Amino acid sequence: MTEEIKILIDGCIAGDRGAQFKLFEKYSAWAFAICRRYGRDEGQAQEMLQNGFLRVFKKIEQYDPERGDFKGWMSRVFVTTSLSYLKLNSSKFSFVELDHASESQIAVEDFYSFSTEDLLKFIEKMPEGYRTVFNLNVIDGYSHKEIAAKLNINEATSRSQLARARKWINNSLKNKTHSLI
Amino acid sequence: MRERLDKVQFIKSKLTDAEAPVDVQAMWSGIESALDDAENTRRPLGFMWFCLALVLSSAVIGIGWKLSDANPATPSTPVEESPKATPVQFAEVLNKETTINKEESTDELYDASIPTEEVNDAASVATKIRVDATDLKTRRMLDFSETLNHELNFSEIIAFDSNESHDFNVSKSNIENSSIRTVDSKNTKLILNESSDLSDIHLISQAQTIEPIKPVQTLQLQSPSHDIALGSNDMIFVDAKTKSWAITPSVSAGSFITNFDWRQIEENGLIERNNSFEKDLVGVQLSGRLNVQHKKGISFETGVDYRNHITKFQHNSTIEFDTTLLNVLLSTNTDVETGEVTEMFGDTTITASKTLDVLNYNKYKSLRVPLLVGYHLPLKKGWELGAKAGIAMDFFTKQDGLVVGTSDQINELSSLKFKSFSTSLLMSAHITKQLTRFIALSVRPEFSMGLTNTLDSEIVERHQYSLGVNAGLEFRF
Repeated sequence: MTEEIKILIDGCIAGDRGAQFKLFEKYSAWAFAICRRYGRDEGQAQEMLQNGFLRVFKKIEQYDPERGDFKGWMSRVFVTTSLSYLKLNSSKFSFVELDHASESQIAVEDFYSFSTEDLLKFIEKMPEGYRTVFNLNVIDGYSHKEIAAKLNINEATSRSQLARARKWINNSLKNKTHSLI
Repeated sequence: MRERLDKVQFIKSKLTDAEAPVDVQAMWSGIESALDDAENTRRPLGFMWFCLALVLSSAVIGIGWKLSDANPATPSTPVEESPKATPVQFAEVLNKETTINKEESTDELYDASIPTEEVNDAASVATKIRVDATDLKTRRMLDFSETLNHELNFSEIIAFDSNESHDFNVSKSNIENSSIRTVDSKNTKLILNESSDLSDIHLISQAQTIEPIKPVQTLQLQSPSHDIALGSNDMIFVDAKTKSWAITPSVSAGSFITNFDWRQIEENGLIERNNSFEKDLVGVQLSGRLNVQHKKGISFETGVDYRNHITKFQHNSTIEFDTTLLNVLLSTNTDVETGEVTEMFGDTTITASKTLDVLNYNKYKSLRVPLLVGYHLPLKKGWELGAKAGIAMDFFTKQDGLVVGTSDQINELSSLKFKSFSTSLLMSAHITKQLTRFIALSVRPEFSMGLTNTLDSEIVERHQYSLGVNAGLEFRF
């Protein structure tokens, strides 16, 4: 942990509004990308971002440098906050059938030239159930057991949702000649 | 397969640690106003628990108070006129003792009527009574259970009361032509334990009625919570005015069982770890307590408990995890015309599993400091029942063993970061039996419920629940 981060953390623990702003300024773009991945749209992502930072400021004194880096701790806070938000704003995760999931196809060549913003919008289109499991497993590195516990589903459902997410990605792209699924 | 993995890997590589543009000022203004609102409504957690304990304690005291008011003690001895006994009026009693002034308060009466010389003189006349003048001056209770077992020359025992309920145990008297009186003691009970042939001992209540008391061989007066004093060579004054505050140190030992409740914290609730548990096998506790009790029954208690226990930790789980195998043979293709075999290699993901089956015995040592408020209800024959509630602070001094962490990994207790102390809600019953003037036997069942996490973790919570019984001796002053 750099000296700068340590000073910011100490300031946040002391309730220093300046330190809180600097921490927000430093990590907001990174955290917003996490929220964008989990949110249905930018509006949801902004609310997740706000909730996440409020939780970070509230719990920051519990951060233990010996147990991991600060960014990893913040990542867990934002993922947890985003899942809570989704749970509060939808009665259950919508595990949409694959046949109705994909609307339009994108050329594979175009896909590989996607910017971060394009990919976030691409992920945004993924049905919420797939998207959540895909984000948790592929990008944030949670195991199926952990996902099952977090989403209150069983592990088999988590695995099948991930498989469907992968299939949804393939179906969304035009050139599928090499797909073995 | 290769392409599918590449697409997923492409997304992962682009989105891991990605950044998305955000309007910093606009978002910050919303966060700042929410922080301001939170600060205005924030209350310290400890204060909340203190309020909870206060409410519980008040409820316990209130219930005890209510019970006490709802069941006023009534004279146990039926009041009826005796054909053998001569009625003696209160005024007559007072007139016999010239040092007693009817207008004086109980305290003044006590002091005025028992000068040291008279007491000593009384002791000399009633040769077999040992009188400690120091005790009289300091108004400490005298134990007549010893002195009055001997032959005693006196004519009256008077209990001066102030509308409070008291029990005086009277047994074994060889006093002839004597009477026992209670003055202004509508609720006072005089209990006879053993009778014989003597006929002229009387109980006067409210100076109105004399009830004959069956003769007994020897007289014993015991009142653990009241001052008793010797008056003169022919009178014994029982000053029934209760001491305002009694201090009661106690030592006790006992056993208890503890459950450590491990939970994983999630934003959307707590997830119980059903596949692991930790329960007490053996727990011993040594207690040193100090109780300060008001005459109306309200008491405050604190002290130090040394707790030592062993728990059985058991965990069974199967962890499943994905692992990627690189460059494996995915398929082969044989050209029927040329006979050439084409092999296709690529990366693939498989699911592996690992089973954990752990049994371990964990050892804990801790110090507990209780802060209790309660109410004591005196019962008959020296028994007393109390109910207390409050906070207990636990300081763990040693912890060895294994516990489960997040994602089912097994951790050494010594490697976990524990908080310096945890607090519990403590509820206690208190049953005592007065054995002698100063010593009482006590039995104390206690239940405590962990209020705070014992771990310095935001992911895992460990709360301590315990149920135990202690027995020991109390020393009442």
